[in-house]
Amino acid sequence: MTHGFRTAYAIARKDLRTELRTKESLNAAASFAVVILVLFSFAFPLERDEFYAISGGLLWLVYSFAGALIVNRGFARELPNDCLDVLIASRAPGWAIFLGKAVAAFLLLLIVEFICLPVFGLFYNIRWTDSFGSLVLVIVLATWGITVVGTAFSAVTVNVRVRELMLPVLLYPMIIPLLIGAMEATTVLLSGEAMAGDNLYSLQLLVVFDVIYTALALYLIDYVLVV
Amino acid sequence: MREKATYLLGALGALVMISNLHTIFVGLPDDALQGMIFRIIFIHVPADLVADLFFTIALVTSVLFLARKNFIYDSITVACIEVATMLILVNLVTGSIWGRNQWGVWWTWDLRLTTQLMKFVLYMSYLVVRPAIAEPTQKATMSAIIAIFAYADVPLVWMAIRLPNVRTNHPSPVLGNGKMAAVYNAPFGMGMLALLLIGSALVLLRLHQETSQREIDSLRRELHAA
Amino acid sequence: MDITNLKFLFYGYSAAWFIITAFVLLLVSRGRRIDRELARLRALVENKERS
Repeated sequence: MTHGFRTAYAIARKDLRTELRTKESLNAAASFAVVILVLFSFAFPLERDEFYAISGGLLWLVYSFAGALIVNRGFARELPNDCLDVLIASRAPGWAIFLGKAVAAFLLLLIVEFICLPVFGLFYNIRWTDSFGSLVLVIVLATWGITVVGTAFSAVTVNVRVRELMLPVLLYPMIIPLLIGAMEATTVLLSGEAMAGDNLYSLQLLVVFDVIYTALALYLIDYVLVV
Repeated sequence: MREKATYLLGALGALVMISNLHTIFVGLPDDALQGMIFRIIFIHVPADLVADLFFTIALVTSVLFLARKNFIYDSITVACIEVATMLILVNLVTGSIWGRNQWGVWWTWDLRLTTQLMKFVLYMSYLVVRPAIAEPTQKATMSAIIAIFAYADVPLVWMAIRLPNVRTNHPSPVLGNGKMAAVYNAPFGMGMLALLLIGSALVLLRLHQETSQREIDSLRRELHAA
Repeated sequence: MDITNLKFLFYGYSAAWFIITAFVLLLVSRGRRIDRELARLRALVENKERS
C-alpha cells in the first residue's frame, strides 16, 4: 500500500515538474480561459447586478474548457518513446499511476483556476473575496471531480483516433451533474448568500459525485492500463 | 435458429402493437382534461421503461465482460445500448410533441425531459467513441468502462436537476405516471410488452451482426497472416 | 380543440414509428453489408486453402 502511494507521489512529482518546466499546457489552458472570458463579455452584455445570476455558470464553463485541455495531456504525455508501456509493465500498481496523474492534473488545473479568478473579477466587476473559504472548498471539490473523470477518460482514449476530440465528447456529458452543482454553489457564494440550509445540497452533490467517481476510476483503471 | 427467434419476436411484437393500437384508439374513453393527446402515453412511457431495462442489461453485461473477458458480453452491451438510445429518442420526440400540444412549448427543462436528454447524450458519446477504437479487445474493454461510467451518471443527473434554484422557471409537466385510471392499465401493459418484444428482436438482430463482424475481423487476420 | 389534439396525436405516433422504422432499415442495410463482406472473405479463404 505504501509502495503504491510512494509511486503515486513520484509520478505526480514527475508530471508536475515536467509541466512546470515547460509550462506548455499551463500556458495554453490559462490563455484559452482568459480568451473565453473576454468572448463571454461580448456575448452577454448585462448590467453588473444582472451578472451575478450567471456568474457561477460562466466561471465553471471557463474552468471546464481549461480542464479538458489539461487532462488531455495526462496519459498522452507518456505516449512518445513507449513510456506508457514501460509504466504499465513496471511494478507500479495501476491505481497508483492513475492517482499520481490525477493529482498532478488537479494541481495544474487549480493553478489555472486561481489565475483566472482575479481576471474574472476584474472583467465582470464581481467581488469574490467575501466567503473566500467556501469558494475555495467548492473549487477544490469540483476540480477534483473534473480531473478524476478526465484523467480516467484520458487513459481510456489514449490509443483512440482523434483523441483530442473524443476526450471532450466523453468528458462533458459525464461531468454535467458536477458542473450543475458547482455552478449553483458558486452563484450562491458570489451573490453573497451563505452556504447553509438549502444551498448545502449542491455541496452534497459535489461530494457524492467525487466519492462515486473516484471509487469507480480507482477500481476500473486496472482494466484500462493493460499492455 | 436465432434468426427464427428474431423474426418470431418481431412478428409477435408487431401483432401486440397493432392490437394495442386498436384498443387505444377505439376502445378507450377520452381523458377528461387532456383529450386525445393523452393516448401518446402508451408509447411515450413504455419506450423509456424498456430503454432503462436495456441500459441496465448493458451495465450487467459490461461488468461481466470485464470479469470474464468473453466477447459475447460486449456484443450484448453494444446491441442493448444502440436499441435503448433509439428508444430514448422516441421518448424525447413524443414527449416534445405532447408538450407542444399541452403546454405550447416544444421543450422545457423539467426533471424528466432533462434526464432523458442527458441519457441520450451520454450514450451517444458511447456510440460515437466506440468506432474510433481500432483494436477489438481494447474496443470492448474501453466501451465497457464508458458504459459503467455513463450508468453511474444518470442518478447523479437526477440529483443535480433537483437543486432548488435550477430550472424553477418552467412549470413541471405531470406526464401522468401513477395517476392513470384503472381502465388504462391493460393498454399500458400491452404497450410495454409490444415494445419489449420489438426491442428484443432488434437487440438479437444487432447481436447477430456483431458476431458476424467479429468473424469478419478474424478472417481478415487469417488472410493477412499467411 | 379536439381536432388539434388528434393532429398532434397523429404526429406523435408517426414520429415514433418513423424513428423505429428508420432504425430497423439502418440495421438491415448494415446487416446486408456485413453478410456480403463475410461471404466474400469466406470465398477468399477457401480459394487460398485450395491453392
